[in-house]
Amino acid sequence: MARQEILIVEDDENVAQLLAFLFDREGFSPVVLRDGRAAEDHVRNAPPPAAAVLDVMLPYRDGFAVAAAIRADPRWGNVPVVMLTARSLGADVDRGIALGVNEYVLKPFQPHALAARVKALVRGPAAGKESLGLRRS
Amino acid sequence: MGSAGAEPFVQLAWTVAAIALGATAALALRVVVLRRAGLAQARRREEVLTRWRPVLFEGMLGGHPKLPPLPRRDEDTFLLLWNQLQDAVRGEGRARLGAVAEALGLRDVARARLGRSDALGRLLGLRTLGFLGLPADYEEVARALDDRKVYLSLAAARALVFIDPRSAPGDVLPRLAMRPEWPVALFATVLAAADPGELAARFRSLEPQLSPEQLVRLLPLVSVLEPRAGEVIVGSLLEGSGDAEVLAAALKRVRSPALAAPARRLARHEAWSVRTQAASALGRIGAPEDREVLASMLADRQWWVRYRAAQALASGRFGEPSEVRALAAALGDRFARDMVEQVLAEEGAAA
Amino acid sequence: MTLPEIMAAAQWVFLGYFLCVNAAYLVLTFVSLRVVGRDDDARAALLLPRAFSGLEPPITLVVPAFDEERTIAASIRSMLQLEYGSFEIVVVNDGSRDGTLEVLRREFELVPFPEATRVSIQTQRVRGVYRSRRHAQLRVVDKENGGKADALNAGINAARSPLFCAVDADSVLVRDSLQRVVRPFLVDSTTIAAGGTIRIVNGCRVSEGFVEEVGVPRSWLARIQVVEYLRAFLFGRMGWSPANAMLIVSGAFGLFRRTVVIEAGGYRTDTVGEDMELVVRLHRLHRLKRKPYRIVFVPDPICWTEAPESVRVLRRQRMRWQRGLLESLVANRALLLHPRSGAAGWLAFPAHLVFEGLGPLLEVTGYALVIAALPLGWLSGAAVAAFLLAAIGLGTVLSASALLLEEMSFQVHGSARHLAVLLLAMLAENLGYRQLTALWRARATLEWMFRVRRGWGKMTRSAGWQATPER
Repeated sequence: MARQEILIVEDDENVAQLLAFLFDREGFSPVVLRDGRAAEDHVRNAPPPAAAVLDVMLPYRDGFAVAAAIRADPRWGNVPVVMLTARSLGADVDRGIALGVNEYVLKPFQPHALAARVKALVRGPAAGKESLGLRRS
Repeated sequence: MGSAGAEPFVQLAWTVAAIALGATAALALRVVVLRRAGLAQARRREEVLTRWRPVLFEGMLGGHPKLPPLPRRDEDTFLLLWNQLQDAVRGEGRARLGAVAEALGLRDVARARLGRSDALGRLLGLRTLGFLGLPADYEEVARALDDRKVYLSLAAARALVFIDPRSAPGDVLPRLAMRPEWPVALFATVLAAADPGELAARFRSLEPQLSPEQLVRLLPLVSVLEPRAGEVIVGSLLEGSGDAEVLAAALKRVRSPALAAPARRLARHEAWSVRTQAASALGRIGAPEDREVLASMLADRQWWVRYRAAQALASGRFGEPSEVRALAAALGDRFARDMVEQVLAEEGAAA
Repeated sequence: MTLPEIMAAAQWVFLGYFLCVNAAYLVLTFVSLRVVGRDDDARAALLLPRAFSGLEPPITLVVPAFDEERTIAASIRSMLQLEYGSFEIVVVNDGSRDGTLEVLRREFELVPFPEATRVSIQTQRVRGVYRSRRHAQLRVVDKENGGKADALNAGINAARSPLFCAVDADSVLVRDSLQRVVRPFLVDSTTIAAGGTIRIVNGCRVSEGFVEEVGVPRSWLARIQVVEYLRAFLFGRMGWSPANAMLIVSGAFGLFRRTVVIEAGGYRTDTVGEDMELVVRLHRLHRLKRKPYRIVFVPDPICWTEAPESVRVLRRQRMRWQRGLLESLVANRALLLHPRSGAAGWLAFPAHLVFEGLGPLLEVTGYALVIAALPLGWLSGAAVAAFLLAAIGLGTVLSASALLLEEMSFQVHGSARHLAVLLLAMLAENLGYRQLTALWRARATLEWMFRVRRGWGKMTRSAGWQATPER
């Protein structure tokens, strides 16, 4: 069976490679991008993945802009989105919820827990969408 | 042709020219050499990272990868990678990185670095020992608190908090009070992870010995203490201190309605910095009756007092915008009215 | 004395002058090399995890703008992306004649904002204040034209943070510029100003306001300026910083403590070198009143700007800088050799006055005399050749040291090809470029001296804006 794709957008090299390694191990095919602009281009041009993991602080466009682009795109609209961030400002969380982000994970994160969350969302996006809000994984 | 004075001049000029051009060539050569060395180093660093990243990832995720050899010259690069991964994850990931460290004998590598003359080495050593968390290393790390370089003291403080969250406040707080060049903001973040009870207790016992300047500097720490403990400290300062700076700094930390009474009293203080903070405080925790107090502050001579008072009133806790406007109008003061308009517009824009 | 004897004496004087200048700069070089060694630590410090504690001091970016309709939106958009805990942006539209305000209004959804007046420094009339609906941290002050200094003052009036950062609208920053430039303020509470080297953006790939890839410029004029900036601005500032005698913080990017600048009276609107004049004034006021303070150099590459690629524009720029230098020094002449002025008044000020202010005159005269001496038979060909080689050689030593300094600290220009180009540019700089700029600066100095003689103390008002970037 073909591997499902996971989009990872992260500018920290270590974290980006860690996430790629993690999801590869979990049986996915990770696509790693390093900045918000490349991510937006990707959303426009490529087929949607099974899920997207976005860092908030990215060069050129932040994670929220990318999330908004995902939700606005007709093909990508239902892709489960997990935001990964070191900031826990209330305003950020609200913004994420307003954009339809499925999960919000704080850095530093627990790799296995993150993978489990993403897998759950991939299996059942409807179930995932109900669990909005801040999670310490 | 040349006069008698020309010869020595020409000699000197030639000498200077020769030395200068020679020096230029030597410097240019050195630049090229350094560049090549730098490129070679960068290549090597990349190799180390490429080799070790998958190994550490595998280890963090529960595997048991075979550990490649770690020659001495790669140690710094490895330590940096190891520490950065520690920063990135929590929970079992960290513990497993610790296991890899043990297998590699990283503790000795880290300890060896504490004695080095270059700051980068010491920094890596401190951070590593912090993450390894062995009580036996506490003493050694605590010594680095007295390093002249502030960020090394900061790294030492952070490491101490990891190794022993209960003892760390006792070593860090007194120094924080005594060293004016330590940035409180950064140390506060570090201390936030220490044992809250110990931290609060230490702060309380330290507080009477602090001068007003020290107190003002250290007060931001209250934001990382647990709320009750912080309240007690702030309360005692609001009652007891005569220093305007201290009062203003303490008012900034007021978060509980229990401290409304002193805030109210200080709204009439002679120093405008105190009045400003009192207005902000009342905005946060004031009772509805404090509306009048805040309204009167709209007519204060000082811009900042008026601004904060207007912000407090516009926060919604003291009535609708129309009521607030009416309050300002009733004062008959043009500045008050302008200020309220500005603040309401700000609130509107933020919405 | 006979003419040949005078000439002989003159040769010694000029050679002596060249030796002195270069010796002084070599000292600055050694100091800088040691600072860089220590500043390795600063880079190590940046390896600590970066988390916003929420307790960093908030910063207001003050961006004066005049006739910038083509580029202002992109600049502000990139500034909004700066990584810093808490900052606001105040753009000051200094009575632009083009559509600058319209562009801002459209791109950022500006709405009028009833800002309660708070005038700490007098400025030209403020017509209105706007706030961005989309970005809560952006405000625009629209005022009548008054010049860059006046615009900066208006921005300072509107600023709400304890620190303000004076930024040129066309400065290209990096995402952690604010984090880096605020460091001295975190470490030492007496810091009142901090600034760094401005680097040349020509030849770099810039994307959406940030430098994506560093490159060397294509034109030789710009390439030479890259080396020149390293020599003149890296040492000239880094070397003085440990002695707390740094007399210039570039107007393109500098961080200041707001209350201190207000107390000092804000920027002067009657000088072309308002950025330098403010800093020298801060030194003067604090030293003479014995108030502890620090003005710190931050060597990280945090601000990039466009260098002139045409000789005409370059000439105007250098002549303006020269005038600004002289005006700044004269306006604060009380600092010179004052008993309380320490290194600022006893080392930095005289050095700038002699080597930068009057220096070009001496240099030009030296070269002119020596070259004229040949056809006139005062000096032998050998003597002339020796002198020229010595003067040029001394210059190349400094340029090479600058490249070495750069190599030891932030190897901004990464590839081997870039390095080769810069080494060549280093030679070219000393074979004509320096002499040319010395000529311009000498002329500017003379013009300034005569203008000042006519109206002693009265400086001409410069409400206009300059097309070329600040130093």
